[in-house]
Amino acid sequence: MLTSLIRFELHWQLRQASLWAGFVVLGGLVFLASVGNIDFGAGDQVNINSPYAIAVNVLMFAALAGFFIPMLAANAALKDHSVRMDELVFTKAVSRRQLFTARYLGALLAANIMFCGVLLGLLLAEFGPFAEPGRLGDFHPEYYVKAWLFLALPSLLFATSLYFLVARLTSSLSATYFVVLLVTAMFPIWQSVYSADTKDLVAPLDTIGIFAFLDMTRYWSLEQRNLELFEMTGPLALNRGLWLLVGAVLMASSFICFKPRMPNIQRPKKSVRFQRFDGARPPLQQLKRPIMGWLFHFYCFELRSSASSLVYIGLIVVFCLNLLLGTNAHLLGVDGVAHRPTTQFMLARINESFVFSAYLIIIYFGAALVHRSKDSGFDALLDVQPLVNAVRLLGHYAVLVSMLLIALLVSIVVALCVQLLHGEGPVDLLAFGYGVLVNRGVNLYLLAGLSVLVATLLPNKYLAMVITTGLILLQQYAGELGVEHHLLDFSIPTAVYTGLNGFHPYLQAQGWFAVFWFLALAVLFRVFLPFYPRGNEPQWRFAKRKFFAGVNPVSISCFVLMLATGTYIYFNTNILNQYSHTDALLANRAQAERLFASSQHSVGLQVTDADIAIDLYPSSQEAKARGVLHISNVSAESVNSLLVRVNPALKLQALTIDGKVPSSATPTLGYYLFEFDNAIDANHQVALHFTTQWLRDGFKNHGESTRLVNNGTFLTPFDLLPSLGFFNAERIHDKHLRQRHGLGPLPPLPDLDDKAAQASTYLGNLGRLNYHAVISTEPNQRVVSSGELINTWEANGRAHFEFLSSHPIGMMFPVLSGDYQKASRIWQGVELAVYFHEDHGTNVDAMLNAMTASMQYYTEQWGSYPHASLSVVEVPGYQANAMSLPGVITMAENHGFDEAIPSKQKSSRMFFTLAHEIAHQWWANQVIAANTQGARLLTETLAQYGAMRVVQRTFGEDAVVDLRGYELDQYFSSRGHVESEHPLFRSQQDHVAYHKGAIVLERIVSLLGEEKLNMALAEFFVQHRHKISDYPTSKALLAQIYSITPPQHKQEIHALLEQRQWFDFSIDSAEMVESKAGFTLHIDLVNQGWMSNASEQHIKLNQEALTNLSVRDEQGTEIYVQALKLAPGESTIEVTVSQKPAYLLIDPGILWLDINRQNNQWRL
Amino acid sequence: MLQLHEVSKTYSGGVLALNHVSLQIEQGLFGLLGPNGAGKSSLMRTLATLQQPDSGSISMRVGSGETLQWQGNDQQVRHLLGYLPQQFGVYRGISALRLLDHLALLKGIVDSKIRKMEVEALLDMVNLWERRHDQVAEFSGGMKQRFGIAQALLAQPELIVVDEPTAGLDPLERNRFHNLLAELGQQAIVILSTHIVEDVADLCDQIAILANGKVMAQGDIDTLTDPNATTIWQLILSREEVALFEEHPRLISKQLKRGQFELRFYGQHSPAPQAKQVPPALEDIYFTVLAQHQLLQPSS
Repeated sequence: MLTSLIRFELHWQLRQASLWAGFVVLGGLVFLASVGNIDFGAGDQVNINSPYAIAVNVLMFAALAGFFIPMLAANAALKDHSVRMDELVFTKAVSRRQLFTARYLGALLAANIMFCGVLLGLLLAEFGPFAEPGRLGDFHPEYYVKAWLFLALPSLLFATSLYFLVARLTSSLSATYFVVLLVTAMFPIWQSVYSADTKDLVAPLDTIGIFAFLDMTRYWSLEQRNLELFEMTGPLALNRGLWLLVGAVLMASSFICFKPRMPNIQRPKKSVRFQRFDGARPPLQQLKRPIMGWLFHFYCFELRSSASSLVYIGLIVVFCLNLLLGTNAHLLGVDGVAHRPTTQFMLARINESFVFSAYLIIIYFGAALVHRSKDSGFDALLDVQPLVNAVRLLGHYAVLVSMLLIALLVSIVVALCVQLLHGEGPVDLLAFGYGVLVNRGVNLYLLAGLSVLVATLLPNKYLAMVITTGLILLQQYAGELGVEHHLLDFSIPTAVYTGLNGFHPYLQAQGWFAVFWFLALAVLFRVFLPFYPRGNEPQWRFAKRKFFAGVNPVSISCFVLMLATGTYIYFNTNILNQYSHTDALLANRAQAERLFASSQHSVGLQVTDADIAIDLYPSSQEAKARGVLHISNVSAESVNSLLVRVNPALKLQALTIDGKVPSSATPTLGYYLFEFDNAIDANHQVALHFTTQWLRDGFKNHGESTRLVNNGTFLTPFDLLPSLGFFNAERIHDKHLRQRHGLGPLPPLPDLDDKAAQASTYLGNLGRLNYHAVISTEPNQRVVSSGELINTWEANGRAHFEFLSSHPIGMMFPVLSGDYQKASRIWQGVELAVYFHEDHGTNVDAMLNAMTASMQYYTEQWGSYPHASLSVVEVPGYQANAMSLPGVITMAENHGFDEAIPSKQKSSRMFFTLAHEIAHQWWANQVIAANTQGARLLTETLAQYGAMRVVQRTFGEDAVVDLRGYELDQYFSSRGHVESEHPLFRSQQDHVAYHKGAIVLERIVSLLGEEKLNMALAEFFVQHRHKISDYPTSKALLAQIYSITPPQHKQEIHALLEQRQWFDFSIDSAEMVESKAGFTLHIDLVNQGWMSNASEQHIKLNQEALTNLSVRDEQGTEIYVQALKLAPGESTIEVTVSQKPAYLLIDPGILWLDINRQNNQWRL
Repeated sequence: MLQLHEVSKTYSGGVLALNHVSLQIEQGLFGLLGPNGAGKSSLMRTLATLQQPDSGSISMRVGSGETLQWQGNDQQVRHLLGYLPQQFGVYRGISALRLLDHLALLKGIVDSKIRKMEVEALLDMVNLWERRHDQVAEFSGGMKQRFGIAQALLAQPELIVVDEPTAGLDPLERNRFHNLLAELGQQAIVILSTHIVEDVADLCDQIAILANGKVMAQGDIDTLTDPNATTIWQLILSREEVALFEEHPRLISKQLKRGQFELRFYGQHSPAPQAKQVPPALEDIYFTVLAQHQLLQPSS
């Protein structure tokens, strides 16, 4: 009996269109995501069929399946009720238990069959012809089976049980979808509050399980991600187990509610008696067709109903909650930095929080509004009213847009309240209005139109929701799927707001694209208006006739206008400006690398003098540069050719050497070759004369310049001036992209022993030069550059600034221009200055303090500062966080200027960043590393070290321990994105140079002592500062360090710098016995260590580790500390302390590369 | 006068719902009778502009004296139409007053004062005045039907199309509605589609009988039920005797009354010696038409 019932239910489910719609949509999306390299968290270097990528996709798509499961679960739960068969079914000889089991299992099986679409999509991606061979590993069916059983099944069971129960309790599919929205909306909330502090709470509560999975695999290397199948342990097991259990409880609850439902009969409020109304019927009136009146009335009527619906209010509440929680988390420092709620910050939070709710509003209400009258049966009355279809269609659209607007306005109000509560000012209403209602809103209004249109064309509301979801996803990932032109992706370019520059570079493009797409929407509305669902005819009957009815003067006029607008846009984006698809840009870079990377034409040549004049026109985003670069042969050999690179986006007006033009040119790539009749001999010079223009014609599809802007221009020599040789930044680094564009593996940097490579710096042909520049700008702006400002004047309505270096500086000099305020102080004869936007002055004093502390430490420990001034210049938020250039440090406004600086006793990211960048004035600007492996040890690692030490001196040991914790986490969590790690002394990898390097140098300090290490560094600095050839390598630094290393530490320091080792120290158990002597602790410890050898094998280490054991009380105060010689493997120690301890900690200073710090602690 | 000329409608599934239907309907109440699937609802929906005929034409001489063609004039037709479908639903959370006001505006009653008067008068007319602030979605079946009647009467339509209007009404309300329809029939064309022959007999001046999408009979109700007609025969039989007449080709109805069966036959000749000629009722005419077209299964 039960088997027959289940078979019947499954057969019924298999005939539901929603099941197959879900199957196709989920399968299609996961397929596109896999072959289109859309990264849902797996990482772009991971194989698409790796156990890690399969697991991440399965988790994410099991969540997405939650949108389809209500149709399966709720329909199964409600199908008797909806067709009033309750009484028939429940009076048959079948037990309630059997009936429920069949219904529930039918729904669960259907959900799993639907989910097979995901597995099929992944298999198609693996075996289909579209996957890149370089991103495929071996096929392992167990990856799929395990991911489905352990990751997807709990989610599917939970969703089926929940929606089955809600449907039974409410008898309403709408209410069920409301719960779907609530469950779905929790994801961005978890995302916004997820951090190291909250992960233990978030990981179990997240219904998807993705946070637990990502937490568990956070430190996995790329190799692990590609080969290691996850284990059901730790937070992942807890999460999946918890939601499996919740699913089972909900299932049991569903069974309890599974009873026949009686009709809801209400007693009349009072008896109805005939009572003659004393008013008379009005006289017959001429009926009218007030189109605008109807539209307004229909709009108000529908808006009132929809905006007061539970689903909408719920979404607004969820959105506000998301916004407030996310904002609060960021204000408190969820990403390690406490922010202030500036306009830029709040706009970013609104964007993050709202997009999810907005899509849900669009998807749900677009279909619900159009199908509302049909769903309720009111169409039988409404369709015979003389109300025209256009009013109904436009009314629905206006209502949906208004619902979005209400939500957006609510977000603005919330943002303003947050700002006012935090005393943040001044409130920029215009920025909020444009940023939220236009910049963010227009794309949503366009999608809203699409949603209404899809619902109009489809007879089924839920099918419309599914199709709209698919369209939104396609639009979101259009770029990844190769569609980048906004004339094709139904969207306008989104502007990035900055406090310095507003929305400036994007406004024109946004306006034109908005006109284009709204006209397109008008065309679609008019053409498909005859398809509006009305009456009894199937919508698509007489489709041809309806279509041609829609092609009328209105639609044709809109179409013509749309074409005209599109043509104008195309003229701007593709004719006036060069439009290049990302693939084409990469192909250009690949071509440049093929043609010029191995060029020997400029070897031995360096720019040694620059005499330039630059005119900046920030408001029109234009510039002119002209001048002469004196190029010297610093090698011993004669050079008879020179390769010059000029930014191909510039208009090159002149490029000559001694009056001669290049003998060959590739202007599309920006390369020009000079071949000399008379070779340039050693120590001889030639003069390169140039004139370039940075022009702005019309607007671009994307990639509007964010360097030359209305306020906050930041240019480097590569932007405006010719440079020598191949432009190394053009190299494609991604392995798969290189393969796709026919390039071999990225060539390694020259070996440390390559003497020839030591003739040039790690920046290529950028050596040292004498710098003289006259830079003019608009009169309200101020220019900052390297060298000394020797003269300023105004002429022809423009402000002029003249800079001259007193000695050779690194060629990476900046050209900065903005409407800046200046704050400064003199420290030991050096002017320390901060140039900032007038509203961004809150942290300026703290910045000057950080500059003073850093300058004090570095000059004292390493050597003198070479410039007369050190300037920190604020740049707009779309620039790199911070950059150190000769005498100038740029800092993005959202990286320090918006930080909530805690107090004088605590460090901040701004402090650390400035200390790091200022250290580069020694380690990058004075000592420039050679162009060999390990150059970053001499730049980034030493800058990290310097910053750590300044923090330690200023704020104490606790502050630096916090920083070490952060660096350690960043180091291990970055390993999943790189193929094979280099040892520190050879590495060019960021995570090694910055994060591992910081820990390693701190460990060396703990072994050698800070003073001793700084003395060695000072000696090294003196030896190599201001060199113009024979640049130093990391090997030289290592030799310097080894020279001061006592024998007992040699092995460890050697391993830290030259090997790849990592450890896992843990406290296996600890017991406390109280006695007269105090509290005796018996502690079982484990010391495990590994090393990667040259063939990437992991070899277990068998070495002792010198560290500390810290015993702390409940408040975290250290009550006892003991140096430990941690034996390899397991060991036991006994410690007696006088005070009652609360917990123990090994390596409290975070000085070891310990991959799992969680097991270093033991709570007693 | 409403004129339907050769109106045909075939659904996308191939079902011929209306087959060259031609009718002339004068002011007053017009009854539309027919078995299930006869095409009544198709005809009503076509008149209500909810679907277009594939061929044929519908036109009506309106109050202004002009003739309004249905084809291409949906909006004008909707102005003069009052339609009460057999089943309809309403939005949740909206009172009768507000919903009727909404529909009145959509109907084209722009003047808010006039609209208010109209809405209140209609709510009173259908006996919903006291419940005007209650949600229509919470109404009982009968009350909801009365709301439907009220909305069909908005703006004093010249053509009223009502499909099974008294379903769910109690006898008192049914009477009231009949009176109302009769009153409306004085000024408008009222087309009443129903299964209840008695309703049509009581109310309508003219009727049409539809079957298989065709008009099988139409005319003045008095003519059709002429008491002098000699076409209907009555036979009272015991249970045992009935079997002899079960297969009689002219049998049109069989009813059990107080232990005996009353059988009715049509035709000029007596089906049995004991048969008695009776004046025809509308029901007899209806069944006769169906039987003549072999659409009747009296044994059932």
